Amino acid sequence: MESEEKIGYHEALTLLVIILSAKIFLSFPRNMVLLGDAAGWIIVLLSGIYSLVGYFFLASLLKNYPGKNLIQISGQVCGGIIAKIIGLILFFFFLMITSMYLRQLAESFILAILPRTPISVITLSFLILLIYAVILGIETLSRVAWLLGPYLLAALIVILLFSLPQATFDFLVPILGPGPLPLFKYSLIHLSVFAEIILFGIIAPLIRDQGRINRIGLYSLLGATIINTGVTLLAISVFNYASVQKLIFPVFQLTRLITYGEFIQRVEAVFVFLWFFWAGIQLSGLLYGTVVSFAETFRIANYRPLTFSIAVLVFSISLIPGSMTEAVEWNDYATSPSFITIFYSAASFGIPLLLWLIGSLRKYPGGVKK
Amino acid sequence: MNFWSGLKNVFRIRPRGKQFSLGNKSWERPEPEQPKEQLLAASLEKNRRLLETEFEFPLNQDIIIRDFRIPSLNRKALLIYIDGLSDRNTQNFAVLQPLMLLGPDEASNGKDPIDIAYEKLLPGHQLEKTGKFKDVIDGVLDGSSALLIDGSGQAIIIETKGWEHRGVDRPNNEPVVRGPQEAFVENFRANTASVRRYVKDPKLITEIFRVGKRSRTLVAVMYVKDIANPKLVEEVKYRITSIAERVDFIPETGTLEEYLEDHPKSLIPQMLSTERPDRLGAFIREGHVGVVMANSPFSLVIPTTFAIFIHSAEDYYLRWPFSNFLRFIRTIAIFLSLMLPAIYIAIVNYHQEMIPTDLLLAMTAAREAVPFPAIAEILFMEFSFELIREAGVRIPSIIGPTIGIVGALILGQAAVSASVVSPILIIIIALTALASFVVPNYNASFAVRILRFIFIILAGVLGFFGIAFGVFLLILHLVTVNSFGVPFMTPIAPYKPQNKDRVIRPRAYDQSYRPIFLRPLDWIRQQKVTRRWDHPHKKIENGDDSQNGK
Repeated sequence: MESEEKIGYHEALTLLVIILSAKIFLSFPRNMVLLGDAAGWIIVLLSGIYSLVGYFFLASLLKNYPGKNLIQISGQVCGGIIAKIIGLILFFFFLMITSMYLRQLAESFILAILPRTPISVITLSFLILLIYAVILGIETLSRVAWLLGPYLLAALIVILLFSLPQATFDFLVPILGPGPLPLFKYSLIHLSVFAEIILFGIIAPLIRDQGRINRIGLYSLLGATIINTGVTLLAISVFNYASVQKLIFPVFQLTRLITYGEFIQRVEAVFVFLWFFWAGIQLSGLLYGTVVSFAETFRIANYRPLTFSIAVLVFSISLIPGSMTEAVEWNDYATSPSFITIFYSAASFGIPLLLWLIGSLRKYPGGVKK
Repeated sequence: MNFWSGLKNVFRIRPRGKQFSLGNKSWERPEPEQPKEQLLAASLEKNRRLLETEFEFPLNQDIIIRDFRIPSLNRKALLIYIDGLSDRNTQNFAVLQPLMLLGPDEASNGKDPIDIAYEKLLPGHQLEKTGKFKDVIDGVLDGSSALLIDGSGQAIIIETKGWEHRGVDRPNNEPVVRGPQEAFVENFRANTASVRRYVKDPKLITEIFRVGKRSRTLVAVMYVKDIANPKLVEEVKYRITSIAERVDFIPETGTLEEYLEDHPKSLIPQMLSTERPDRLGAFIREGHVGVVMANSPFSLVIPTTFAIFIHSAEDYYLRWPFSNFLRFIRTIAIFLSLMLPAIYIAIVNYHQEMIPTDLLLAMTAAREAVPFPAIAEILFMEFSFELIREAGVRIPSIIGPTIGIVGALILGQAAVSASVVSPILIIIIALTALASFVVPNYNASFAVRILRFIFIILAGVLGFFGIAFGVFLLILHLVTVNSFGVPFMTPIAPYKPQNKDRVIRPRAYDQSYRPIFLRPLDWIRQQKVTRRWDHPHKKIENGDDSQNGK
């Protein structure tokens, strides 16, 4: 792999926060509320805390193998065929997550602003951007993230502030929703909310300031937890949980509430820019993960020529779900967790845990000993 | 050519190791090859024949070869120059007169006659001895006169330049209200001298090269030796010298820019061209490299970043609240001139719900009589405006006022009365036009003008989605562009917290660091505390600033 690319500290942090929190614009708040009723936000908060624990294993692996990414580490720890299998699992994880988010995003655009445009037009034009971004490399992408990050955050805060006057915090009662036990269970299964942190395992060796990589993962998880929890919380308190369960894209509905006098009303189209950029950065990052994990698994030095073929795969997979509801349910089916959710959680937090276990049993072959 | 290499060509992907970058420590350029030079012969006859063949002498009638005898040396000699390029007074009184009138000098027997002439006979202030045939040719073409004496393998190039040229004038393209009111001219030495007047630093280096195998245009690379990064200077010199002999004609800095830049296919200009010596001087003081060229009233600033294109020279001469106000206006103007027509198209075609109802009704009523779709209207009007703009540049000044009548009356009033366009569209176009003139750089305004059309089409196809698509693509491209190893979007991304002069200008006394993305040798511009009376109780140690920056 070409490792001449270097990512700065700020750039990496914003990139990860954006990737981890892009799902707030999709059906994610609704899914959480479907599970936890008024306590949907607690599920997000709890899985954020769990993910910090899960991140510990990833961080410890990266610390023991400085300058190596997760797939190279798995090659060191288990070697040979198992490393290939782990690499392929990661590849399928990224492939699925990219395709599913792409599909949901395209559906949300159709719903919001372009009701008569065929979905393939939106998906394809988005994929052109993603291919361009991936070919330019993660360094460029991280700079874009840093360039746009503050404005994206500001726009999100504007949405939240404008909808705050309409929030009724009584809607948060009953505080614990279905009760503490289901909340713990759901939040464990829905670790997948923070599944994209595994991308950090792939880009970590490219970070310029290797001394601070631990902090990047930690802070990005914390930031994403705050954003994801806050948005879910606000969605519940504005609409009440019963309504959120019926809204497919709650944040889009929040932007519709923005009115200021006679002049500023129905400005949701302007916020298209917000989620276009947010999702553009997120999906480029995820597609990068897909392509690089494939290239790493089979030790292909230059990942760039693979981008097109994998983009075709992403496009085809994103078109498999028959309708919008199906696409949403594939990703995260409400009351009983879908296979994909479990797969996401297992792949993103199970693999580091597994590698950490094997690694600490075998005393980190080829790594830095403590 | 296979698919992948074609794509590489489209995206201009080079592995980072093979791309010039200031931070890449292992980077080495090959040594420039030294061509073999033809030397002058010792016999005057032979040299004369050489010169005659080179200049096609009898055919070429503005070459003057003046044969004469130098009595003091008792030798034949010749003076060659071009009529009209050289100053006849200097030639008569400072060259020919002393050579032909001074008496014999026995003491110098046995020495090279050229050395004697150099030491004793010629009172001119700037003489250059050379043995190379090429130097004689270049000197003569520059307007100097060359003296050749029989029995010597050398020649003296006497500075006799004196052609008719324009005097120093006010800047036409970068005028300011407050600040110096002079611009570069076509005269090479006048330009380098005016830069030096703004950078009175003994370490300001002016290195002179010739580019173009036939045009032999003089190019000066100017930098401050203990500020500019030596690697950057080397790279500029490397690029200039490597194209110098491979190209026949390089007439102007605009052409030179195209040969030197990193991404020639990009819409984004990667060098700043300025006609203001004070501005070039300011950049040179910061660690940039300046390129001044003969016959060109525009100089180049290398490297250039995005932020520089929204700054103007005046920003630094005004007090900071005023200049920041101007910068806000300018930033908004750039946004408007890039986006306003596209946003109008997107709202009218796709997002009508955003328009307040009363305005919507008014707009619909106005548009009712217009038979074209909004995008056709706007493309038509934008195109007419570009026509006016181009015509305004090309039109002979005598019939200049016609433009105003044609533009205002026919394209404004009459187009609306004839129901070809709607009145609100005229407002949009006028605002865009005004805003586009606010873009402080001519090259950058070209990029904005062309991109505007792309955004209009994208908005017409997909509404706000299309605009967002275009913006994202543009940002991806902007972040990739490199100007001489410096990322175009720095100091924003990559982030350099020390350099705060991005969109908002900090107060002059708060800017302690030179642009550190240029990796200057000396990156402290001023001490942290310059206004000591503001901190009467703080103990200030002098000279410790150099340690606590990084």
